[in-house]
Amino acid sequence: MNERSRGHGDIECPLVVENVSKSFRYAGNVIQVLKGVSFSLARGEFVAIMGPSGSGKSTLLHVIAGLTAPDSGRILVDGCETSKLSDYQMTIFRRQRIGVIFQHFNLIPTLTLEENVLLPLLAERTHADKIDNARRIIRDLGLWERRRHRPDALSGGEQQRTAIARTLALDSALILADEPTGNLDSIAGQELCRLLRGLAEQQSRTILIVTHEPSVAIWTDRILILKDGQIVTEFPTGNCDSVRTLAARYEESLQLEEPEGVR
Amino acid sequence: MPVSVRLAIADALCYPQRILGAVLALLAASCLVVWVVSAYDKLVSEFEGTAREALGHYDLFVVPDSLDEKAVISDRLIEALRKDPRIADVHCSLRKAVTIGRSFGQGEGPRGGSPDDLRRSGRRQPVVRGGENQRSPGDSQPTRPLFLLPTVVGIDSPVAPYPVVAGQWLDVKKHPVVQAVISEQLAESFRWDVGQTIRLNSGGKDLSVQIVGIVQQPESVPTLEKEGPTGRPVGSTIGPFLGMPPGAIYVPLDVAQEFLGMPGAINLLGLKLTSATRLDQFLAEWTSRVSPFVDGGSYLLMGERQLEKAFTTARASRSIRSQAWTACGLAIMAAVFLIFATLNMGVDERSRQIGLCRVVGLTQAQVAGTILTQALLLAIAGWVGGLGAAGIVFQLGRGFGLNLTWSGTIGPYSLGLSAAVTFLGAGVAAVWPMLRASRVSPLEALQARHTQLLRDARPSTLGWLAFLGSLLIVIHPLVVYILPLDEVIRVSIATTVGAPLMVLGFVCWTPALVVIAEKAFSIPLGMVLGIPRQLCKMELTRNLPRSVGICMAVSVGLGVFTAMMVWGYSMLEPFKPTTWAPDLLAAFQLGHVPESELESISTIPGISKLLPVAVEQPRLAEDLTGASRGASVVRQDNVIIMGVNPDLAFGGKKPVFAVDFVEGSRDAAVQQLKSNRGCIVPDHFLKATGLRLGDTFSVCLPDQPEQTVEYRIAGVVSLPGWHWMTKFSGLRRRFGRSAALVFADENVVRKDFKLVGINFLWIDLEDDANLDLVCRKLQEVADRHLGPGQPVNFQGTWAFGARMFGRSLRVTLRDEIRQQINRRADTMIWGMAQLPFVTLLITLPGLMTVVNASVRTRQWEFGVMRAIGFPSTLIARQVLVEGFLIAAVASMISLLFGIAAGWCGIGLAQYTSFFGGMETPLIIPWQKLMLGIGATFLVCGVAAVPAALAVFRREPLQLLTAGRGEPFAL
Repeated sequence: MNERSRGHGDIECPLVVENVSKSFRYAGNVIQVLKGVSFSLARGEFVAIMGPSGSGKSTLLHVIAGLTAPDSGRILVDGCETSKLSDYQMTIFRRQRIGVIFQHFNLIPTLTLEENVLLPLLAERTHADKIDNARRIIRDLGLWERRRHRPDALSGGEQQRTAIARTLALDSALILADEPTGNLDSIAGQELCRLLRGLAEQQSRTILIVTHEPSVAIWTDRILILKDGQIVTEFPTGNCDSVRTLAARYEESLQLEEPEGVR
Repeated sequence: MPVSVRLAIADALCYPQRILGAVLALLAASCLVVWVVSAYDKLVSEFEGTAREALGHYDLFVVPDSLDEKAVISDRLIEALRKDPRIADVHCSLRKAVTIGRSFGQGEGPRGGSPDDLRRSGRRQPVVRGGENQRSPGDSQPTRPLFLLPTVVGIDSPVAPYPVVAGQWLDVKKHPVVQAVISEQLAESFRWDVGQTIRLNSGGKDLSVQIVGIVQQPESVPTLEKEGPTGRPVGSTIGPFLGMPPGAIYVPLDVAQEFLGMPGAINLLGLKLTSATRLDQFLAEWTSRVSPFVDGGSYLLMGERQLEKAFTTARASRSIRSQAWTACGLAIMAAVFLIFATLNMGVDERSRQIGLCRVVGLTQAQVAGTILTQALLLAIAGWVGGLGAAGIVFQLGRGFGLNLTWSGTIGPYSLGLSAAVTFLGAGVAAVWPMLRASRVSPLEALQARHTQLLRDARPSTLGWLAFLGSLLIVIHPLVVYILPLDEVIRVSIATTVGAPLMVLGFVCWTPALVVIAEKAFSIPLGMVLGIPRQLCKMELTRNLPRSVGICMAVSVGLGVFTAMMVWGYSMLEPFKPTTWAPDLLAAFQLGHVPESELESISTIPGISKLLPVAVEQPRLAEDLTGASRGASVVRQDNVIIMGVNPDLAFGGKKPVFAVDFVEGSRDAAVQQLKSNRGCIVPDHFLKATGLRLGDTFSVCLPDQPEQTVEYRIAGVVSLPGWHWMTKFSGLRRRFGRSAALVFADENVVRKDFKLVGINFLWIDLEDDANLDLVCRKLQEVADRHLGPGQPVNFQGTWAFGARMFGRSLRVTLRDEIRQQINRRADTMIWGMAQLPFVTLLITLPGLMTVVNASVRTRQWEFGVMRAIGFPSTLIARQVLVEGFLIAAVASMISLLFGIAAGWCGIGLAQYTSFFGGMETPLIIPWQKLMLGIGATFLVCGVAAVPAALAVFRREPLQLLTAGRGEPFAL
């Protein structure tokens, strides 16, 4: 593993994906889910991946998170080529450098909120100062009063914020979120987006979010459109002055037959 | 705290009900082990005190290291010991078992009658030494001889070896009447007291002694035991005592030597050391000197530690120890399967959680560590709880006046073995779930599913497993029955390889049996409970690993129960006398009846056939049966020769002995008996000796052992039950055991062994015969011809197994023997089956956990069914079906395993068991097995009831909601 500093300001592009392909075998057939996907994220960038159902969005996130290995291509996270790491190495790397948030069932039901946030630290057997830092994060996210509650006593929004707190506890370089607002109402969803936006702007966290909701994508800096396993286009959200405009632009992108140039 | 431990504890605290069942089951398993093993703990704790008491006045005993009761200690050794300045006293003794004649004076000795008669009369039956106690599990009674054998001990000590509790010790001055001092237990047993005169008999000689004192000595003393290479005892099953016998009758040494016909003989020395002597040094030096001694003899020095060791290695102790090991084995197997099922279920139910942990960054080792920690938590709770439960159950039982046959002693063996069972079981059971958990993909965390993942196996996998299982299973019977192996190697391979592989083979077969049983029984069971057949699919196979685990756990108890029943009743069969034996055997024990009385006897109403027999029990001239390498019921050094009229006994259309000829023809055999010193032997005799039809064998004359007579094998018959017909009847004239009952011509036998008069009559009775009248008439004949007592082994004098009429007539009834055997066998076999039954009950809490888990994972499905319109009662019945299906699978596995294991056990017993060697048929006691199967169905049904009730009470929405998210607590 490439020994890097644990600070998240050292690498210009914490995420680089080069020509990644991934297929699955199902009932004897091979299904090509990702076909030569390439893109990169700059530090502090908040990027959304959008696309129709079955386009490979979640699979792309899984591959980046190291939850499954790509068939070909390279993935560099914080300068480290994760596609070549063993399962054990990837696990440790993911613990230290990548935070993952799912749509639901993010938390261990038998642990309290505080324990869920501290879970990566417990696995790391880290020092007390890091634990203090994690507790500070809990406080900052407005969860301190609920820290002794179990997940079944938390609202959906609180659960997602707890998941975010967990990703921040070990100072992840990259945060991956797979439809994090899918299980929340619109207000809670917008609050979550505001939180993520704040992390990107104020703490230069690099965040990649999968969503199919334009109201969520509008919070990001850039949108990558994935269709049939390929990135067909991308555009900055700064060009969209409203959710409606963004949605229209998204619909247009889905009509493209060939991929446009992607950064 | 490591993250694995934290996660495991959090899970246990959050969902205690999920593991409660497994904890309770482990608790019960641990309690079972404590219950059984504590008996051994108590035994061991008593040995110390008993060993010291057994020595009495002495520091050491010296005995010959030989099973031959005639072995003596040489004068040279005695001289050498006397010269050793470290020895203060050397007291010489001669011991030999005797029989008791009629007593005079205060009270009387034991009379004939059934044990019930004696109990009603307030007298104990005469107790005779015996070593093969059958004890209930947990029976904590000290190891002591079942029976107390009166033994003359000639002794030259002026001081009593044990405390005198009544009267005084022997007076060394000669008296007109021979003095005797007896042991307290002998006095109690025969109700003898000081002042009483008793008559002793040995080898036809009588001796009257007057009791002048009673000493208090331990009830049990170990005996010398030697074993052959396969574990069977060498020589007589009961060797000489390694000290003063419990049934001692102390008389002056010279009196004993003359009475017993062993002038100058000494076979026990009591040594008292000087106070300055160090025992350990003395022992170290002399032990090497006497084994062997310069005169070629070999002797044993028995101090306190040596006697303790002899106690612990005694067969009776080993019996308790083997029960302890059996309990541990059963408990560990049940524990392993229960914990396996519980942990496996945990991995299934928490796969999403495990995946999430992997996403967050827990390594495979940390995830596996969580499972291992859970297993250890189960073990700790089970072990500690089991110790406490054992104590509580015993106290409660005692409070209610129940005899739970538990000692109440929790010693090192109880603690250690119960800990081993729970922790070892937990560790072994956790291996597979740990592997599974560590292999859960992080992607599992991303799957939000309502329906459980169906964990079934492909048919090809099951097929291969079953094939592998078949290969493993056949190894054991191949080794036991087919392969031409040396006996020692056969036993060794069978026990270390064959038996474990057979168990493993059935484990491999279990998944396939689950599938087969589900296909065979789910629809019929569903029909019985009113469930549509479409809903009866995949009750068990939806989660095959879980089902396999719990079915194996339930099968442990039932399988061993089945094996014990099959083995026990099969082994019993050759010992039950069938119709080959006439109805009644009459033995005239005092004097003999002349031939002239035969006519009057034949006119007694009720007698249809009458056959006088001449009986002797000579030693074989050679060790044909291999008794010196390991004795058994068919490997002994003597035979019982029964001289009969060949025509009456075997000829004609209605012979007295309706035997089946296995080899040779009846007519040819009869001719050879009459003309060629032929004899008819039982089938097992040929097997044990390797002889064939037409071969000869020689026996020694009892009074002139250097002279032999030869017999030729003219026919081979099946004689099931001959042991029991001869054991108490008096036919065993010289020795307690015999290799065979051999029939020869009466005239030849009388001539060979110089037998005069009639001492035995075989009698067939009419259907309407008045037995009492027949016996009284026979008694009248016997009383007319009283004379000296006939030689008879001590069993032929017991008030058990036969009836005494007057002082001389002893009557043995074939049907009574059969009833006694059946009663005793039922008691013994059911005693053995207690442990497996308890093991079955232990699985009950684990079963409940499994059924609960199954219901948890099917809540969404049940919710949908309720939403569609299925009533709650049907859902509840569906849960019950799962419980009964587990019982059906367990019954199938247990029957197959039990019959196979029992059959192989019968084969192995031929080489290892004292009772092996007979032609043993395979008996499957279906009635008794049905009881076990019924109990299993009951247990499984009861286990499913709580889950069924819980589902019954839930609303449809509750089931749907719980099925989508975290399960509701059951």
